[in-house]
Amino acid sequence: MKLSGKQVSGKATLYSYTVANKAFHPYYVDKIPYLIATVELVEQPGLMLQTNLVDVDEKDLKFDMELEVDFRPLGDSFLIPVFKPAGGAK
Amino acid sequence: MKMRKVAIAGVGYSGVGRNTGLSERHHAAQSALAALADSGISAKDVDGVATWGGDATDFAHMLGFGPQKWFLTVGVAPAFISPAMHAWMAVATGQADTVVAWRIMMQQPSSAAMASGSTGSMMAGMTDYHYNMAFGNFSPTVWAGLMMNRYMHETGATEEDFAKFAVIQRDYASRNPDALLRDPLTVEEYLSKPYINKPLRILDCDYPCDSGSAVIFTTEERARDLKQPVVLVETASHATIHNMNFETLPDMVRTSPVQAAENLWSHTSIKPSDVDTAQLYDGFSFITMNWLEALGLCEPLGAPEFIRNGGTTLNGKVPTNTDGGAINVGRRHGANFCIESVRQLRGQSTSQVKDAEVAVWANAVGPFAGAMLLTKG
Repeated sequence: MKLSGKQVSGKATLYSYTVANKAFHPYYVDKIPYLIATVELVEQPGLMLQTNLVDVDEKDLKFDMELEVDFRPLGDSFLIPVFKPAGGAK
Repeated sequence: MKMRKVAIAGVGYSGVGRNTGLSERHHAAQSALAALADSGISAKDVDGVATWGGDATDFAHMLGFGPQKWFLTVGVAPAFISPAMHAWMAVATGQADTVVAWRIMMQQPSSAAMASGSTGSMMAGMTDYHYNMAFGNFSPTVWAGLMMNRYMHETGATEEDFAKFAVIQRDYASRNPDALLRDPLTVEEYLSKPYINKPLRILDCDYPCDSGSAVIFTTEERARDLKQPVVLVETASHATIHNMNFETLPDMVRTSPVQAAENLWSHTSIKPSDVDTAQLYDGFSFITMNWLEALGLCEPLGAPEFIRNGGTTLNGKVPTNTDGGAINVGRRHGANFCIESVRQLRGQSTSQVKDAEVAVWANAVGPFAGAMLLTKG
């Protein structure tokens, strides 16, 4: 079997989430509270990704809701994949 | 090869506390000497050592144990169950006759140290840690928050259920002089404490401290001539299902305790309904609930209701974590569950279960776990 990278759609569902209420690193002191989530990519059952949720309030989150990828800067050098409600739905 | 029946003959703690200023060696020596005194075994009769925390060879030399037939320094493992299982099997197979198993756990870096950018909090065995840090995940409380939230979603457990669990455990701790947290606790107090990773609150987490715990395994035959009532190892089990990325477990509600429990019951004719007391890992509170379900001590997804109805109290169906759990006795990383099981079967617990004859203790969750079943000899 040959292993290789494969592009995915960026669509996922929300498996679980937690609110980071405490900053364990100086970079996050002015960013708490923020949302950390485990999402399941639609391409394959059990294909999980750890990420952040953006453009959504905790109270509007529902388990298994549909999400789509977005990209946000981390510092000056990186873009990281984050997720938001699919289609901009609230 | 004929397997020998194994007993636990001695148990002991070091001077456990917050930032004790003592080294791993101090905690190893103190806990081993306490366990030797408890058992009546002399240092020269120990011929095997297994530890997580410090170095087995170093500890054996330091304590004057003499030539060792079996030694193991455990790497990242499901807490104390790993050195305990190795000690049990070394005696059962005849590799050694009397083995000391330790868990030495030094207090983790303070939140102040972590907030200043200390990298000391990174676990050496953690894989793919960059996938955590890029998303602001620097603490095991993140996977705990994720697992707890999914658990609440699937079971319907409420924050009040977790408060009730904390109150019951603190009640046990209030009678245990080994516990670091002993003041009575109310549901309201639990709910007034801060979230670390919502829904996880600070009183869902085991209490960081410096601890040394030692347990001596020997043959049943030898144990019958020693000081304490005999406690026998019926069987034990390990399981691993995933790498160390808790955050990408595809099912966060049914993890390695399920397989470890299946393995455990497959080795014995004892049944879950025979268990008189359970001592189940509470590094985070929901883990105890996972184990109650995995071991078949309550219905699947039924632990919150079981606890709500008093199932884990001293008068309940399965008195659980009767020393107060690591949330109150301090993080002894699984060893307290073994030691409290032994005390129950000897009749020496500060919350004694009447006529306790079968005890199960269990460690860890997620990627890996293990459990051990003990009986009164």
